Amino acid sequence: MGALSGRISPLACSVQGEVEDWKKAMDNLVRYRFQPFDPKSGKTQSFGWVLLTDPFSTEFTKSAIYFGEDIVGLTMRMDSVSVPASQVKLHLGRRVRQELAGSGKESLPKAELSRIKEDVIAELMSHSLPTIKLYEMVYNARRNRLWFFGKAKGVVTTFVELFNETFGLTMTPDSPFSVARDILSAKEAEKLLELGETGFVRPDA
Amino acid sequence: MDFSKKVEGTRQLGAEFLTWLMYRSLANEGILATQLGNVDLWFENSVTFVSPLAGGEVNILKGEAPAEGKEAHVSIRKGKQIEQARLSVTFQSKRFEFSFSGPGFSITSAKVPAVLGEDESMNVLERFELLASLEDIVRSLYHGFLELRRDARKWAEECKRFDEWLTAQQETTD
Repeated sequence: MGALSGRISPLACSVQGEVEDWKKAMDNLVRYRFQPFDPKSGKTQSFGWVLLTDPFSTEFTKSAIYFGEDIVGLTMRMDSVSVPASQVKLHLGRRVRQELAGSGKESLPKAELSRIKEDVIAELMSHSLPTIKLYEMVYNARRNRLWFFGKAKGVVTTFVELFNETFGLTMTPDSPFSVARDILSAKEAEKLLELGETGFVRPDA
Repeated sequence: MDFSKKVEGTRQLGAEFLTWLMYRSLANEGILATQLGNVDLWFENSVTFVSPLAGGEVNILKGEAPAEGKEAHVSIRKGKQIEQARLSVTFQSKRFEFSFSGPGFSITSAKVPAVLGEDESMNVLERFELLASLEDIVRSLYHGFLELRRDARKWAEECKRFDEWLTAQQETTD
């Protein structure tokens, strides 16, 4: 269900304005490229641009990101590491028992428990491989249309910000109102708000 | 008014649009006139009716051409409108199949005509030109709907024709 093959299920948007400086946009692509992170660093997430056709490449040559003259295709790559709470609980229990046995105490202060928990999470994270998630984007600059292949609210928010930072453009997802505004005019679309609900047919016929 | 309120305040138009499309398609044997030219549009194997009243009762009809059946007629007579449907559109010998959500104005699970690009780059270009063509067709149909819907007299006449058509359908299927 992605951009490259199969059925197409995008979040479709109208883009406001045009890219004023493509050179700057290309520089921004490099600036906001995806950069892998080391889970041992304590970081839990990283996101940025990669090629549409190769999620492991950030070689943003013109021929790699342009499809025809007007279409730009990219992927927002988002890597993250997380440790299941059940695993944290198991390892935390083991560490607490070790601490108690070593100190001879019956219980540990709250601050000490928090510190051990942080250590446990960091240790488990350092052994985890990041999960890679890919969200494709196709932008038709001539038509001012953009199709994004992610729908979760948090992902869309991240994407909108990344796109804005990179290309200096904003977008509006399609809706009956926004499409009416595109087709008619802002003024005519406003009048739609005054229409009451319609009953197509007589209910008692 | 805040933009998001305008969006939310007009979502119902999407369901009205889909319901109107169903009437126009069935009443005109699938042929709909648009600014782009005639479009062949059919409701396929899934139609979701929702009551616009609070608590909105939902009726999901599946199977072969569910929009043409008695249950669909009863749903419309009860004031329900179509929020989602699987549609097929043929325009200039190109056939598209897709699910359309009226309130979201969104196309999902779209099957575009076969792409025969020479390489991956050409495939992407062609797929998204085809998707844009499908959007143009849907927007053109929506434009036709809005032209009627915004004119109180024309809309009243359209609803009268819809009612007469539905009555005739119900007499046939009863």
